[in-house]
Amino acid sequence: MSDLARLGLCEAAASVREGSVRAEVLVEACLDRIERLQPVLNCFTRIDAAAARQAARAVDAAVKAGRSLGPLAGVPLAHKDMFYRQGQICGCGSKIRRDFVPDHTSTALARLDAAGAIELGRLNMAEFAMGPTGHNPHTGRCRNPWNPDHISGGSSSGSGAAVAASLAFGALGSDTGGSVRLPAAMCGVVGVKPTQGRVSRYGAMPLSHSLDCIGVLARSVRDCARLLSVVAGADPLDGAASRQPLPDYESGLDEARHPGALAGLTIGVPGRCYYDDLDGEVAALLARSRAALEARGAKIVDVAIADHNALGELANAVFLPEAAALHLPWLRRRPGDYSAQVRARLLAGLGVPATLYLEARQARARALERMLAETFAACDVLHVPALKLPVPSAAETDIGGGGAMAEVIGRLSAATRPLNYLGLPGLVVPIGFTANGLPQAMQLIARPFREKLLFRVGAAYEAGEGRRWADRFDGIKA
Amino acid sequence: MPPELEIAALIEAIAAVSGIRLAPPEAAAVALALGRMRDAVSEAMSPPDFDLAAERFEWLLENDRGGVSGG
Repeated sequence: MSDLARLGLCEAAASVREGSVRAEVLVEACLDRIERLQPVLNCFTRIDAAAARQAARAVDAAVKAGRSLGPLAGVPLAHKDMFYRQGQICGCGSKIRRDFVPDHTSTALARLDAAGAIELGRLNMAEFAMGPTGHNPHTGRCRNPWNPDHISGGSSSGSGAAVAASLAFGALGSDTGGSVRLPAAMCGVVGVKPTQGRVSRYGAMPLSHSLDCIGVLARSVRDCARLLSVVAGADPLDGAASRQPLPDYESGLDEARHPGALAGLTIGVPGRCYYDDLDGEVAALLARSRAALEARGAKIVDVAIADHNALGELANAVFLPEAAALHLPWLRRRPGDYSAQVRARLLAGLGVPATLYLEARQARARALERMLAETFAACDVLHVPALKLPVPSAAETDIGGGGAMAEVIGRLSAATRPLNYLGLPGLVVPIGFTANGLPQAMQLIARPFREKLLFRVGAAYEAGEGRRWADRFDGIKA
Repeated sequence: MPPELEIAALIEAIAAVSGIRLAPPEAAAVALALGRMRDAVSEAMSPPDFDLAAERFEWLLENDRGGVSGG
């Protein structure tokens, strides 16, 4: 039964649709793995087994009755515990909101419901989505399925671990500085941070209005494309959601698997910032992934890029005051209910003057303009690391709110935070393992709203070199 | 300004806007972070552009039509 939990998301949806697998059997397969692995991984904060079984029976009845089905009908998913569902506790990884019951449902969840997806429960996350490691003193640390002594990445820690360990077929996450891409990279799954505004944030816990982005994680590029196609698009409930037309993200993915599928495409490699201070093993894996993309027909070129290391600090000048403003009432009344690390980071936001914040937002326009006019004038897609070092252990990153905090957080998110500042889409795809047995990934970046292009490149990689990682789930030690 | 005076001023400034009075070590950490952000902003906004509206960022995202291969 457990093997069914390791099907791909699209494969599972097709099996339910054609009646070869019942949704209830898929749910039981996931629940069986959850029962065995949750004590080790701690990726769920709540398991809604009864509701999931009931929803699965409704899908099976619809199949039997020949009713029309949504694109995710019968597929068991689980989501970061920051997406509101009316009447159900949404703890946001915190002590402060551990009993919070929202009075409305997020657009992302409503769209997944309408597509027929089944929710298995709520996934662990960093406190208020602030933290790249997976440590959480309130809900307990989420562990990496490849080696529980190592971090899962964060802040969508449970999303990365649960999808990698086949406890769910896919998951929602959020990405303000790398919170979808880091757990995807560290847990060996595919994750996409779409263009700013591509997915409605209505009913999702806010952290930074300028930088927050809803993303998805799954075990293949096509599975991510399916999930994004369901949750993305204009939303009358979110004025910041883009009205750009939604392409068919899955069309062309079969063709992308052909040899030479990337002919005519230029992939840029920046000569600075992302490749500075890069671990040797990670650099070798990235070089191999570039060679694989070249073998599928892409032209690899060196491209000029501005100082993206500075973009991390500019992102902080936007993110920290926005987060501090949101949390100010609780910082005043309940300062002791925050972990030391989250409280320290929020306090830093209080010190940012309004003029500095506004200058950082002005500079954002300038940085994006330069990126589009210079770097993306020379390439279609940028190839960079997602993480510049092998996945560290929990002990190495358990730094609380002390002096090492800024350095550790800065090092882990060095390759992801700039993208939130630029608002561009990024796709993280597994590319192999370092000597410690933990996964690594490449990060592909494109111009605004070119997620479909990223999926095409990612799928082409998966069809070639990526096939080497097709059996990666066999390696889980948990 | 000597560091200890800068930290004392920061404590007062934050207390004035938020009602929260930081301990000196907390304020020292904030001052450090603030210095890094100031340096980055100063570099990014040089030369200054009087006409640059922050909202241009959203416009750029929504109106980008560029591309090398058109892929």
